[in-house]
Amino acid sequence: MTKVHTVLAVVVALVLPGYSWLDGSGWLAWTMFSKSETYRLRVAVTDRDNRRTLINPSALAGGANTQVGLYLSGAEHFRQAPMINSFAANLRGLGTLACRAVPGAARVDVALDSRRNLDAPMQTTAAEVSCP
Amino acid sequence: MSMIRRNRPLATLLLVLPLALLTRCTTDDSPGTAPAQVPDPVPVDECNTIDECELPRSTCSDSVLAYYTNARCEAGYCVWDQMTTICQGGCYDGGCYVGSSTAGGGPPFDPCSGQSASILPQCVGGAGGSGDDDDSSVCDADDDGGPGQCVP
Repeated sequence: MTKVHTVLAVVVALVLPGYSWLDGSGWLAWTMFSKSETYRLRVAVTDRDNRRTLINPSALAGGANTQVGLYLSGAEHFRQAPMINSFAANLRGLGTLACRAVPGAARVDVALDSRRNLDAPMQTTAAEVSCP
Repeated sequence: MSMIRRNRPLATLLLVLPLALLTRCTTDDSPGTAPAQVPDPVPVDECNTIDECELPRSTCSDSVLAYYTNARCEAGYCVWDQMTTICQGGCYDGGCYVGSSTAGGGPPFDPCSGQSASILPQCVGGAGGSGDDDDSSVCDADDDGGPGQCVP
């Protein structure tokens, strides 16, 4: 085994999976069925007349790509999928999608309720987006 | 009589058509007749503000996902619209799922561009935390025209 082989093995087997673990997603590591995190999304749109409307995350799926739409569907109740970090990092993007859901939308409040595992306390991450 | 025999299909049609018209479902709501309505399985809640309303849980029927959206408080009651969408992979427990098994959640994403983003900074806050002052969003609503901005 040459040095190149050793370096390559370390990068592929340790550095890349470890990097994705530090990122929190673990997408470069083998995480199959090893997570039990659950999440729920709450989306409230306020229009220019100050009327508030609750939007189901499923209604945003059409504006997102297929993979994201899959995890948005039915997310008004707790779903189990390893998507907490991804959603938390993109709440403002989801809010911008919600701006299109209500005519005359002025502001969107998006909240992500999540549990890291079935016993963990619920955490809430929220974002407020001003609609263009 | 011979004419009827010769045109038996037409005669049968003329006989069956009035019967079908008589027995078809009607939406006649005249007094004494119950209107033909599908009973609403979702309870209607009273409300003073929208904050007292909750979205009813989505349901599956085969591969069709039925969900409720546009919830608002009108005339003292929570009202919403029912929508349906078809799940490509399958519908289970009120949500769409991938048809095949996966090895994980996939890379972080940009919900607007349809592209998987590179590794993104996290925005995981405590209870009630706000992402308002967080610049980690790839697809933000700022008018800076930067990469990842959602474009209608």
